Amino acid sequence: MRKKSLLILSILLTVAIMVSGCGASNVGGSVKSPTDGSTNQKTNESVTNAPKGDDELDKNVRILLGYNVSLDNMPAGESINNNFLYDYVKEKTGFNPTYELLPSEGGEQKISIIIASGDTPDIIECFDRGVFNRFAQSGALLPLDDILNEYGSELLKFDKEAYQACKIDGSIMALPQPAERYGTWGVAVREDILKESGIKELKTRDDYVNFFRYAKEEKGMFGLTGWGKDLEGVFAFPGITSGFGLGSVLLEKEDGNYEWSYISDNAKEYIVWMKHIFDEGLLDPDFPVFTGLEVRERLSSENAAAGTLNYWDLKTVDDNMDKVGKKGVFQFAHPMVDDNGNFTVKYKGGPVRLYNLVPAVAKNPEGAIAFYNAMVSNPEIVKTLAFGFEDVHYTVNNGNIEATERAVEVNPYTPYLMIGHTTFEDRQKVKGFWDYYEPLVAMTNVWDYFDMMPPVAEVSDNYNELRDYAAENAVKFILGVRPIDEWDQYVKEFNSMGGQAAIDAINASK
Amino acid sequence: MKARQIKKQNSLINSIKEASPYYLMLLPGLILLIIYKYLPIYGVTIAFKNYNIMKGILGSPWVGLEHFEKLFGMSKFYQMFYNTLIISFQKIVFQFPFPIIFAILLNELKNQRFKKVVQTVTYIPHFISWVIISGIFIDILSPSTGIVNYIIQALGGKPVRFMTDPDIFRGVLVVSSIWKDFGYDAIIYLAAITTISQEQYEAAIVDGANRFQRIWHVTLPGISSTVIVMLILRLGKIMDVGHEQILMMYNNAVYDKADVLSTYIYRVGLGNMQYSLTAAAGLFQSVIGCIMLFLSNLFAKKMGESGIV
Amino acid sequence: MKTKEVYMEKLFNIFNIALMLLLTLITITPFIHTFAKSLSEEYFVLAKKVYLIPKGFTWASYQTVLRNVVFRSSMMNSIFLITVGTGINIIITILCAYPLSRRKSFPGQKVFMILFIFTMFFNGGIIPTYMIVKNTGLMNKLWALILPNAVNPFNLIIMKNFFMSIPDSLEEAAEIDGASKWRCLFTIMIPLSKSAIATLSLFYAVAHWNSYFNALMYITDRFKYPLQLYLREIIISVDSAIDGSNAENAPTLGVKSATMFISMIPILMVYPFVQKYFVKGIMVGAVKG
Repeated sequence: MRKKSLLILSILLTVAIMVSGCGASNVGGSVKSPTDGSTNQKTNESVTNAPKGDDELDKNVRILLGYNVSLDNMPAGESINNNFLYDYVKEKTGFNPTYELLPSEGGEQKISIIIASGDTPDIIECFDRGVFNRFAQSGALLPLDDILNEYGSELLKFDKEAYQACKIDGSIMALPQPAERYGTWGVAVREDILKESGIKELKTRDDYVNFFRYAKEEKGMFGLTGWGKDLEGVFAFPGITSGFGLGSVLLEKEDGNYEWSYISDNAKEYIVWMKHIFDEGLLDPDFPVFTGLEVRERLSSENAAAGTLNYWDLKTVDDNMDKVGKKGVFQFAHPMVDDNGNFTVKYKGGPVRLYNLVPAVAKNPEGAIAFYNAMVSNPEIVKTLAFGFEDVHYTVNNGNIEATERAVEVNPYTPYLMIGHTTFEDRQKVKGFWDYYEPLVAMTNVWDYFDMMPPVAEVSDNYNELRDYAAENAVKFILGVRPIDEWDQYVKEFNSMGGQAAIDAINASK
Repeated sequence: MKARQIKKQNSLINSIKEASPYYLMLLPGLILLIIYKYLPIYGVTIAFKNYNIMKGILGSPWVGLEHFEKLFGMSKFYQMFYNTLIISFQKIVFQFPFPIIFAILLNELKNQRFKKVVQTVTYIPHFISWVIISGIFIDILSPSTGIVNYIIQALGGKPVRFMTDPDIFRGVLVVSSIWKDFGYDAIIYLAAITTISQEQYEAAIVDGANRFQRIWHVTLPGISSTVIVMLILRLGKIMDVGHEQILMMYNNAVYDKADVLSTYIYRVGLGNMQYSLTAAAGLFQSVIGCIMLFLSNLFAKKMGESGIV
Repeated sequence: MKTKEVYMEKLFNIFNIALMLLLTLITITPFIHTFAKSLSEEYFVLAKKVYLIPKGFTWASYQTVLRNVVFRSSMMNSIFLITVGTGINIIITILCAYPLSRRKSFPGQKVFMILFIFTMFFNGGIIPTYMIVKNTGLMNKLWALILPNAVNPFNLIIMKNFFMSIPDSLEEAAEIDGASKWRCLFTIMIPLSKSAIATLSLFYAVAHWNSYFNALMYITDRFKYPLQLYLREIIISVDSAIDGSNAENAPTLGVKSATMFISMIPILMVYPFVQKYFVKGIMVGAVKG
């Protein structure tokens, strides 16, 4: 009896899913037209800056995209090669792109396998600098100087630092998508508690410690929490490491050479300080297992008074605090300053947001570069790909771009279609991130040489291991699992694991 | 002489002829096996070459045992190998009997409905991936906000840092592993129990055996061959310590005691796309697993059981 | 009946029931917790205020999930895999296990057995396998998730041993009656192995349901993703340090919980079906003497 009803239930469920799934046809599904008959597009101009030798170029281009979570929100009937914005691009540029998507994990492995199998796309998006280096060094990539000179005149106007980071032995080995400096980050702090505590400003180390103490004693919260599980662990606590002259992977010494921040004297001072606040109970003991998500949870559940965050995370936390009427209580605090009143917080991620790799065996690299060039050379295209169609997805008020209700319709597409970053500020404003981002601009101030230096074999081979070892020991010292007087021994171990060889090679290649 | 040899050959040919339906049955599986498992086997050579993507596996240069030397030369290698063995051992000792005992006890339940409910519920965690379960465990074991420590403190103890204390962390691995899989692993033993004929139980009752004696003398022997097979297979997988689980749950504070070969390679090797090194590590683990399997199989046979091969 | 024994039996029953209740509770609680999160307003989830009861009750998460086309298609794909895929697995496993269990009458049994077991430990790795899959035309097809791993040696061993435990006398009796080996398989072996077949079907179905790595490598079309692959994308939503400008599109915790919950339902329904094959006393009275 029960089995029968279970059977019926499961059949019903399956049928229900199938019926609802009937609306999900990915090929030939109806394509929404947002213009609704109005010809408001001011773009009746033909594509400017058309590439030379237009007619000889193969207009079919294959692009493999890195995973982006937004792509999941496409409505039924649409896909990455079948939607109104895609059609717009195709029409305006005259090219015929075919997009494919990498999965959210295992992306590098999949890229390797695709290249190894010989049947490659023309452009592969890659977020990881180490992966880019590796491919370049094994000869899998095409040098792009000539192609860019001929077909990519607009593309060559991207940030110098970005191109610098893509050069290996003087050749450009990837087309950069420059970072829009939105990898900015800081320590978000409860301003209301700060006010209560009577501390005027959070700047020096003592300010911070007093603030943490107040939070613990009067509010029963942890003073500080952070994403200890992240790759660099405690070395990536922006706004805290700044108080010790840390914050970059490589620190520049007085003689112009670099040293590993992980074994520097600054690091020791920092770790000792962290150990003190941990022993006092001011530091969240769970931090070694925390990633960004847990930090957000800690802050939202009011269990910590300060935490390391990216600016978009702050918006999430703020939205949540809004629901209990406490909007705006979290603000980015001034980074901790050292004894000279200085601080350094690096732009997280370096000058390149993603590397567009062109495999050496790609069939149509010229077409691909020309296509990308076409997309950035036409200001109308740039604007449309960033915001959508005017008066449909956005309106312009006194020179300011404001989103309409339909703005969200554009969200699934801009991540992958947009090249270049000139519209960054407006986009952040339209999405409501600007207020969270803007204060950080003054608080992040350096590029890390590590993110920009040319590939060095000793580094590529060993960096992951070294970084892990540093992060691991940092936690062990702070937690007391390893006695702090073993610091010098740790430095020795680090160096003998390849740390010395790597830093020598880096300095030699400067 | 000749006559006997001919007779032997004839009988071999005869038995092959007789067994021809068997070969036919085996054919589909065998074909698939050869195409998808044996044709690619040349890839094992990656471990002995410096793999270069552009040259492919066949074109990459041979380097002999260089990667193995690098592997064994890694400062952490022996620590990780040791961790693998300890964790695996702990899991086998504590995790292996649990589903068996559970299956036996479950079988003793009188109410069939309750039994089915328990079965269905306990096998649920197996389907929840470690990604989620690790989050749950981290949550409930948190020294500050976790419910377990809440109870400990309520009973007058001090909060325990389960996830960041290297000595306790292994225990967390074992316990969470048991929790996740005991219901599911019990299924095969439950299936085995159903094959024990009722008559044997009835005979035992007639002989005056009580519950425990019935379990000891009827149920256990009845599933013993299944248990042995599962044990042999489990020992063969000795190097497989739950890569995904450890990856999700471990952190900097416990690397020393919880880092195993596969997770270390994943962190350090795959990130650098060191395929050859990864392959060497994999090969090493496979060899050990293989040896364990055959050793335990041999041992089982010596004890009179049927074993695997 | 000695009263002490009756007392012991009663005690045992109570203890057993209590233990089972405890185990059930322990295993089901996180399940309930996730369900509660899936029905709660996001703020409460993030602030860790949701335990076993939803707060700020809302269907929003489920609506988002069920509207998502990739989710729906991935569900269908997985259902395909656990029906057609498992079917193929079982058929081929039985066909292979039967000859391999006939140790005496199957020349070469040991050789074939080793061939299968060998693949449990040694394989060529993803790169050459990828090439073969590509060259046999399975790229980007769900069949790539079925054919290459059609036989699992682990399950094969279990089935083979099960066949071996069926008394020879049954088969001999049938052969005397003139049955071919095929007939033996279908009329004797299979009917008597229902519990093993049911168990292995479950194992294969579960393996298909949980599989993601092969799909990761061989499937490029998102609409062909099996469920687990899609699920991982949602749950391990990239807390990436680099790209934040699209953070508003990331799935909420409620959506993650809802996705997880829905995706467990089909596989959980499989077990009750399988249970009915675990019938006692199959062997009773089959052969006398």
